[in-house]
Amino acid sequence: MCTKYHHKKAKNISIFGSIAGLFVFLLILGSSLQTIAQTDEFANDPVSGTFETGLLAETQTVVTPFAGEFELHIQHRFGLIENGLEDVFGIYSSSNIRMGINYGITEKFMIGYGYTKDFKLQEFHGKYRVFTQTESNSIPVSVALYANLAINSQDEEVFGNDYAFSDRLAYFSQVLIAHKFNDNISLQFGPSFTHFNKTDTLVEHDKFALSLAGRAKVSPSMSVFFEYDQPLNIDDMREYDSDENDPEANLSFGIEIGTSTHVFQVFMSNYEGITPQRNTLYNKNKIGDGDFLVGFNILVRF
Amino acid sequence: MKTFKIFILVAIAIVGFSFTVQQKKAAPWEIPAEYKNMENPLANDKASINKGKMVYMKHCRSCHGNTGLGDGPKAARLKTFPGDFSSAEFHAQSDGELYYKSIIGRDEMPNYEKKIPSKKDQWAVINYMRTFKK
Repeated sequence: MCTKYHHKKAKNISIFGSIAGLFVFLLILGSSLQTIAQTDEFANDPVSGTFETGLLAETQTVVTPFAGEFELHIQHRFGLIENGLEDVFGIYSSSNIRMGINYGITEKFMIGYGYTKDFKLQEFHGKYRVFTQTESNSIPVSVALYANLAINSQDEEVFGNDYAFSDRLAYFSQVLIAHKFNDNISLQFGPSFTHFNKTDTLVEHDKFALSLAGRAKVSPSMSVFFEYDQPLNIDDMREYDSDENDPEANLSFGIEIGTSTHVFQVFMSNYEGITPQRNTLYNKNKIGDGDFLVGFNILVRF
Repeated sequence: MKTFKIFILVAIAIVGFSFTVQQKKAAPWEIPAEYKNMENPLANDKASINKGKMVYMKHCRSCHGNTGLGDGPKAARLKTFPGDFSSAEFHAQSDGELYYKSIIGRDEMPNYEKKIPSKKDQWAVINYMRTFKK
């Protein structure tokens, strides 16, 4: 048990290093390719279209809606594909749905509300874009801060004895750092912190995680994308001796189609919770075991 | 009986078509002088045309069509014909005039200053529309 435990710790540290290292390496590579300084009048303009929208599969991106713009989100996750034709790869299995609305207060600041079917979660979230990458790379990355508060609105008895309203609350915060390499390729790195006021038995209350996401355009309106999320199951932060409830990593990959008013994303993913804090702390679907499901996101701008 | 059914179908079709609103040709634009004489600051090169194509395919193609003939999937529902971007009349306009019509807009042609916020993208789409020449 002990050996397995240390192996897991080493594996987590190595994954952490790999993700951070890969992002920094690609960033340096991308910047060095663009060393020819742009002297045109657009040099200090912010880059456009780092990502199609503020949501990419399971992660937020550095993009925010325009000032005064509403975004309606419909996010759907079918069941796991493991049963094959029995439930048509999860389509007839139980599914999870989120509907939400975002509003751009300024060009850089948005707020939003959404509700998710599983655990009857009511979510309030906000995102602020601190820096935006410029055309000349004088600012080489776009940076955004994201925070999400989820309120579990299930019946009181679900929370057990000594119920208090605060038991319902769960928080997720993330720093998003993205670089647009050219008109076709963008990459984003996002360390996050999740906190639940009350968790299931032997499940930790806090979790750091890392996310790496990227997209590549394959036609003017279509892209392929991936996203990888790694919860950091670090021993020094561990509340309990057991690592049995450690959450699993997530891999999502799919296609995205963007128009002036709509964005469609269809993908495979390990995450079924939709809400980020739920995914980060409770995911039990393993990439290695092929525990994937089909999901889609639809966004309407108005 | 068969003849009667055909007669009914033709009658319905005639009534239906008679209610179809014909698209009118766009009225002349009043373009402020500052736009008419506006210089295109973006080089008309391959990179800007590629960028312009991305912007066009995302924001413009649904009405103006893949090749700028005004035959996009949404075009039929417009009251005004969206224009033929391959015509000599279209290409006789200055970049500034095209910029005003494309980005500032009027009536059914929406304003795109917010949806295409980058000046570089705005001019890139003008460069791309120049490639529709017959």
